[in-house]
Amino acid sequence: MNVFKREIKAVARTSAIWICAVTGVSVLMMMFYPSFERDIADYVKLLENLPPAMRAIMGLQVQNFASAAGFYSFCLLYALLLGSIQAANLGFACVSKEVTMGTADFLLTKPVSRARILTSKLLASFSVIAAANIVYNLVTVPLVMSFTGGGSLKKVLLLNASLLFLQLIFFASGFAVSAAAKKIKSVLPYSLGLVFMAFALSAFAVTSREDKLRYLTPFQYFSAEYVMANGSYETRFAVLAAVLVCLGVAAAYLFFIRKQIRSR
Amino acid sequence: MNIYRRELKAHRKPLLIWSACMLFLVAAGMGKYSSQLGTGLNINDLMQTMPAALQKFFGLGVLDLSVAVEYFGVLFTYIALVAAVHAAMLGAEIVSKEERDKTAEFLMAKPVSRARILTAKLAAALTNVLALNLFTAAGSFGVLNYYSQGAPFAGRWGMLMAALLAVQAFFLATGVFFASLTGKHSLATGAATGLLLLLFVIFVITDIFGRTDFLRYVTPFKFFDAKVLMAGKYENIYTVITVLCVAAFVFFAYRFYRRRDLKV
Repeated sequence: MNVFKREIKAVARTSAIWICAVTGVSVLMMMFYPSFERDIADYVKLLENLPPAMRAIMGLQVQNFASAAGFYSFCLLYALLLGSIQAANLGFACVSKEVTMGTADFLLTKPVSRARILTSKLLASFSVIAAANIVYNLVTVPLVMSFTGGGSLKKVLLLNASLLFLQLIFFASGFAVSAAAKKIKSVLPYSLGLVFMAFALSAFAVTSREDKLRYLTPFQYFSAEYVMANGSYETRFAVLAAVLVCLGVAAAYLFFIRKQIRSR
Repeated sequence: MNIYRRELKAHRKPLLIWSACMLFLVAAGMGKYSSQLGTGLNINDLMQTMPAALQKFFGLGVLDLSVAVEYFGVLFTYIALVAAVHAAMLGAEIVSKEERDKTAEFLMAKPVSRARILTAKLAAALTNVLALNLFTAAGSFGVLNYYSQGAPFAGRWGMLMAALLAVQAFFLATGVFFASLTGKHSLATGAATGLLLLLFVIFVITDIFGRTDFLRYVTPFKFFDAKVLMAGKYENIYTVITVLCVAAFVFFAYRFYRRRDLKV
């Protein structure tokens, strides 16, 4: 319990800033909707004349885009980007920071097993991610609902849940690496590198639903287009995401319990 | 010279990893190119029938996706984003790592002035950034050469790579600036990341909503956007702003680094 509390306290301030940023970017972009809405009806017909390949590149589906929920699914992308960075940071720093800050021997000489330490840290990180998602939903759901007039609630909730799942995936990958690596001197280059690579791949390299590259980037696992069109996730990607999260966490335990940890 | 060589050696492995990722991005993105994309209708004619706000949203008015090098222009935004992350992290890291790794005392005890240390580090960082730029340039030249099938592309390719270097220089300078300002490694990388994300979000907003025209003078992602460059809409003031910003960041980096208490 002490490790848990200590961990929450250590990340509280940074996490609060991240939560504001993630929520803020969605709110900011939704603010542009009213001015957009006025013109949009006229555009829709014209938009449908664009070649499908071109639309795919822009990551937009015409019929989706014409509604408030569709517009939101587009804004969400940038909240997902920031949220993923936050989660990757949490994961990469979770264990490795004890080594970098030279507190590892202090922590490990306490009468607590390594597995329990890891569990406390895991729970603390999950709480932070949960808090981020609660705040995000509390702010964005009413906002988007005010634009849709109460419709599409299920789709919006599904879209928002993809933030949670993406955060879990990026957290788990960072967590595993952080537990396995000898030493991670600084967290941000790793997390930014990982998330931005995935983001860039998803944004321009993926042009169709059958594209094999989709397996490489979590940003495609909970495709907003698919949610908007079908009101559900794609099963194979949802399963893949769950497997990845479990694998990451399991690997972290496996590595951390038997790892040689350097003391200063 | 010793410091310069030491830094080059220390950053060799990360540089290779970043370069490999960059080449993968370029190859994966251009792999989707097909000269059939834009044919079937004249994009520019279609664009002219659309209201201005929507033209901006799609941003395709000036990019003809059936031309390989203009298709590459769409990818360029993300290439610039990844390169910017690399440069910002490198700049912050190269200066602040001495204090993080407790090697600052060792370094400062050497008969070299702080200004010379910073100069050597800046030169090493610049070499790294240039190397990533050259890798990207070589990779994209190869891919463009393959897909262009004789169509001229070298001029626009050269322009984009010069723009990439400008973006890299800008973010390298911000990273070095923040690291010189504060001795805390996490704070330096965090501030550099925050600025980068902020500028990127501003870019996205100006890019797709287009109603905030004055904001285009704020973010280098906008200055060196492929759409701006290829449409010949580049304004010379962008060069002035970039040069002034880089000069100011570097000037203040020297100023702070020479006077600051180092954390030991």
